[in-house]
Amino acid sequence: MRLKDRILIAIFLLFFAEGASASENIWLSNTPPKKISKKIRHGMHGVSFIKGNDGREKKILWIRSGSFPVESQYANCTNTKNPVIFVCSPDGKLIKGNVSHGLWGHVLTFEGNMEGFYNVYLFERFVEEETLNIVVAKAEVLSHKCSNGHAGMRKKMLHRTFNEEIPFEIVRERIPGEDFHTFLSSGDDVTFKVLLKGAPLEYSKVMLSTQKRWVNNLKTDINGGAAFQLVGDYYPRFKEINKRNIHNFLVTAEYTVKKSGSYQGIPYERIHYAGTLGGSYIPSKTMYTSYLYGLILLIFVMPAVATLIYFYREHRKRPYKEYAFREKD
Amino acid sequence: MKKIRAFINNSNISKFRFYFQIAAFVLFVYGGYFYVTISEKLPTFACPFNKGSGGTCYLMPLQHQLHMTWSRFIGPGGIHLLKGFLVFACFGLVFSKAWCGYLCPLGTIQDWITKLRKVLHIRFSKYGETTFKGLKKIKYILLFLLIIIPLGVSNSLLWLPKFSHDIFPPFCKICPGRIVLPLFTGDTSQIYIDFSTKTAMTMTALGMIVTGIFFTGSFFKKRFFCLFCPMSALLYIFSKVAILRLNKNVAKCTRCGNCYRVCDVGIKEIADDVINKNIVKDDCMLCLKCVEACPEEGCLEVSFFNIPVFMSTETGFFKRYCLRNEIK
Ligand code: SF4
Ligand code: SF4
Repeated sequence: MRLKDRILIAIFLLFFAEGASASENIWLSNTPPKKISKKIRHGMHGVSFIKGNDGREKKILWIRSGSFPVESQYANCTNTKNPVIFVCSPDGKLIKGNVSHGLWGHVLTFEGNMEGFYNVYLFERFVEEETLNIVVAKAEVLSHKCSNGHAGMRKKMLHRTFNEEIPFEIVRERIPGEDFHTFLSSGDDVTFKVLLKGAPLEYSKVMLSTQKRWVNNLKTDINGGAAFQLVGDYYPRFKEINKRNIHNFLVTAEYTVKKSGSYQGIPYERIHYAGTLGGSYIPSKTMYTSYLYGLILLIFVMPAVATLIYFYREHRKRPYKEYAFREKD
Repeated sequence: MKKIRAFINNSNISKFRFYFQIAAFVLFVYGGYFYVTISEKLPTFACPFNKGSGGTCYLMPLQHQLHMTWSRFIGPGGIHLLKGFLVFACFGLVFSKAWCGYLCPLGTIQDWITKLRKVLHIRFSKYGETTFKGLKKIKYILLFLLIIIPLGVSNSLLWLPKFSHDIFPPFCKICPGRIVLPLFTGDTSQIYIDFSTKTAMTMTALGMIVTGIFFTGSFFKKRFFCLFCPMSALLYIFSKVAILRLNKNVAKCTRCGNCYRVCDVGIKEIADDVINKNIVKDDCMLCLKCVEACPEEGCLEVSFFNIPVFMSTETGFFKRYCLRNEIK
C-alpha cells in the first residue's frame, strides 16, 4: 500500500471510525484481529485467552462495531465513554471485567478459569435524537478443560438471565443434547430468544448474519423465539476441507417502544433496545463423514469374520479314526 | 443364619446375574434420560457417546486428563488426574472385577449374543492355551497406547512431532461401545467414516472394523471382547487387594476342571492353580459361574470384607447342574 493511501485511510479512521454511531451494532467477538491472531491462544469453541505465568487464563473479547462478523471494525467503538461491564462467573458471582485499549486492541478481559459459562455484557445507555438507546452486547464464554472433569455439566448448561441489571438480551437456546463439547455446525436449527426485562418479547426484529454476509431477518414469536438454520458458509474442494474451520455469526435484535421520560436530564420520546450476540460454528459433519461407507464396512466385516471362523473350524476338524486296543498288546 | 447361607449357596446365581445385568444395563444406557449420573469415573463401559448414559466410563476422562502438556501435570491438571484415579480406585477396590461380570453394558450385550447363539444351536469356540496367552496381552498393549497417545497429542514424545489430534481419544475411536451403545437409544450417528484426514479415516474405519469383529466374535466366542478390554487390565491392579474376592481352598480342589469348562472367558488357571488362595485372574469378570459349577464343598468361595458370601457346595452343584445340562 502506498504512503498516500495509508494517510488517507488514517484520516478516514480518525474522523469516522473512532466512535460508533447509535445505528451501528456493538458486539463482543472472540476473533482477534488478523495481525495479532498468532499471539493469542484459542481454546475450545474458538475462545481466546492469554495465559499468565501462574497458568491462569484471562479471557479476551474484542469490542467491535458493524452488522457483519468479518467487516466489523476493531476500533474503539463504544457509544459512550464508560460502558458498564457485567461479567458473571459460572458459580453466579459478579467478577471484574476490564475494558482496555492496548497491545491487543480494544478489548474486554476477565479472569476465566472456572468450569462453565461466563455471561459477559457490555451495557450502554444514552440519549440521541430524542431516543433513549439501551445497547446490550452479550457473549457467552465457555471455559472448559476436559482434564478438569465434567462434574455437574448438565446443570452448568442451563441459561442464566439477569433481569435487574440487563433489561434486554438475546439468549441462544441449547440444541438437543448440547454439552461442553458441542460445536454448532452448519445445518443446525438454532433458536434465539429475545427477553425484555426477563420476559419473552414478541415482534422483536432479529437478524442473523454470517461470515459470508448471508443475512436472514425474522420477527420473534409469542415465546420470544426466532429460529434460524445455520447455513453452510464454507465450500472448499473436498480434499481441502478443514473440519475445524470456525465460522462466525452475529445475531442482533432490536425493539422500539414509545415511552417518554428523561435520562441524565435529557428528555426522550421513545426507548430503543438493541442487543447483539456473537457465535461461531463449524462445518457440518455431513460434509466430510459418510454414514453409508461406515455401515457398509461394518456389515462387510461381520460375515467376513464369520467365514474366517468357519474355515478355521473346518481346518481343525480331524478325520474320523477308529482305535482298537487288544488286551494282549 | 445357617439356613440363609445354605439358601444362597444352593441358589442359581447365574439367574440372579441375568436380571441384575438387565437392571444395570437400563441404568447405564437409559439412566441419563432420568437425570441419573452415577459417576464419571466408572470402571464399566457406560459410554458418554450414548446420550442416555447414566454415567461415564473412566477410560474417556482418563484419556482427556492425559491430554495435557507436561507442565499441567504438576498443576491443577495433575490433581484432577489423581483425583479421578482415586475415585476409580475406590470403585475397583470395592467390587473389583464384578464390574465386568455384573455391570458392564458391553459385557451384557455379549452375554445376550451368546444366548442367541445357544438358541440357534451353534457350537461355541474356545481358544487353545497358546492362543489365549497371546491374545490376552492385547489388552495391556491397548492400555499402554491409551495412555501414551493422549500424551503424544499434547507433547512431543522422544523428540518426535506431536500426534495428530484426529487420533484422539484413541481408544474411544476404536471402542465398539461408542458405536453399539447409542444404537440402543436409536442413535446411529456413531456409524460413520470420517474422510477429513487420513488419520481420522483410519481411526473411524478401525472403529467400524472392531465393531464388526465384536458382533461376530461374541457370537462364536463367549465374552470375546473382554479378553482385549483395557478396562479389565486397569481393574486388575486392584483385584488382589479388593474387598470382593474369589478364594480357592486349594486343599479341597480335585482338579476336575468343571470351573474351567464353564468359564466364559476360558481361564484355565482357575482349575490349574493349586497354590494361590486369591484366585482372581486378570481376565476374570467375577461372574461366579465357576463357584456354581464346583462340586467340592467350600472349595471356591466369594468373600466380601473377608466374610464368605457365596461358596461352592455339593448340593448346590447337583441342584444347578445335574438337573440341567448347562455347559453348552
Ligand atoms: S471345579 Fe472346583 S474342584 Fe474342580 S477344578 Fe475347579 S476348583 Fe477344583
Ligand atoms: S474364573 Fe470364574 S468368576 Fe472368573 S470369569 Fe471365569 S467363571 Fe467367571
